[in-house]
Amino acid sequence: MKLLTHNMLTSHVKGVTKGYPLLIKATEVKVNEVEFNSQFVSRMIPKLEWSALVQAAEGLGHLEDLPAELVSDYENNEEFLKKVHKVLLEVEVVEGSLQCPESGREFPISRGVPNMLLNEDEDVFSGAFGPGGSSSRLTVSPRRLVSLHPAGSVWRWGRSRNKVEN
Amino acid sequence: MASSGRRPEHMAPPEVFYNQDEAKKYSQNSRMMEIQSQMSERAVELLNLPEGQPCFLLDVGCGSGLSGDYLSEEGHVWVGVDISTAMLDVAMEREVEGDLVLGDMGQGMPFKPGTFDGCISISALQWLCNADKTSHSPPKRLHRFFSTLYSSLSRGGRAVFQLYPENSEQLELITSQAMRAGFSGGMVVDYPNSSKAKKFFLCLFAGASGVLPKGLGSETLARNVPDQVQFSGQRTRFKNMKGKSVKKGKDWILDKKERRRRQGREVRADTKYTGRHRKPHF
Repeated sequence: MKLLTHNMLTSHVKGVTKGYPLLIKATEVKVNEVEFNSQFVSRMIPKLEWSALVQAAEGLGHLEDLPAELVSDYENNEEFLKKVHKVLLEVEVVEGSLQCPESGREFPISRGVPNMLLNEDEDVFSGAFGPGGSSSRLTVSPRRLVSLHPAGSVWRWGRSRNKVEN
Repeated sequence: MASSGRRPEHMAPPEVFYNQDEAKKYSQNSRMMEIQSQMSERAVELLNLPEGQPCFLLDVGCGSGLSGDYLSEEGHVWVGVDISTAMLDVAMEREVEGDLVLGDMGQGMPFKPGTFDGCISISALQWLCNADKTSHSPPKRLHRFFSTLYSSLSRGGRAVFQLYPENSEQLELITSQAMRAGFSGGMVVDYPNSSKAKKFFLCLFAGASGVLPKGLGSETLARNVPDQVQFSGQRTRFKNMKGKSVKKGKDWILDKKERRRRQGREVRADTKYTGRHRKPHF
């Protein structure tokens, strides 16, 4: 998981209002070379939560001398953009976990993929309706399906074949 | 996939259906890969991103990252979300450039507001219309998905979903939930006259409203005049054939080529040689 993704991820556990920034507990970090694109980095900077980025980079030991406050006029400062690029796109968390600051729920990261799946009781809808309340599939019955399917004209094709070609 | 046989979403939940065997197909079956990348190409075209600008995109149901490959080719940076670990494993093996997240669409997109410039999704949305657990309610899950997606898109961002709708009720459910979440937009149907090449794209706009693009191969539909029966020479055509084979005339060939053109297939241009008799060879 890149730090760019971490900067955008929030916790969506039931009852959590902000859930940001997620706390990184990394056990394995790697640096992967990525092609530098100054236009993309300078476009992404206004979208970033700067303090969260600095905090995350510091925690991983890859701060790359980023200032605590965002510098002004960064568009033309190539050296600064390269540093931001390295922290955002090249530093990756391979193993570890993300912790929600509000609920303390941990989202494990394995092989670089954070697992954001929620248990049923953490889902926003849990408890909204009783068991079995929506057990029936929403899809219509199979008989209905045949008549509505876009390719449902298969049997009709066979019948009209002997008629005049149209 | 959906054009023949049973629909995969009726067989098992996505995290079960896309097991290792199924995931392997997406890295080995060249026909599947070609279809996937064609659809992602069209979806990106419908996104209408500003030219020459690298964008930050979301790929919902990224699977093995075939659609993401196309995004990387175009110079965009992307984040993929999928529920199947087997598919994500394939994506890791293929060393895709985007970042991957294991997540369920119906539980909402866990991203900060205004993050992405656009969102694409290839053949994933129809999975949300099934209730795989007793606690699942498709309308609520759809609403949760669309409302969190709406907030995670930047203003004026678009979301394009390629989907295989099962029936018109399902389409209506999906579009109504998207509208409730604040999106504008609608369906774009490519090649509506063909049963195989026909593709449905749900194009949604967050914030700014745009003009809905036209589906490919649908120009002929606009010509029809409503409330009037049009004259067709269908029956009279065969009266003056007088014993000749119906399927060999120039008219029949031109007619057939036109029909296949409407279906969006590759057809040679009409020339003076089309359907012309050959000189008698001895």
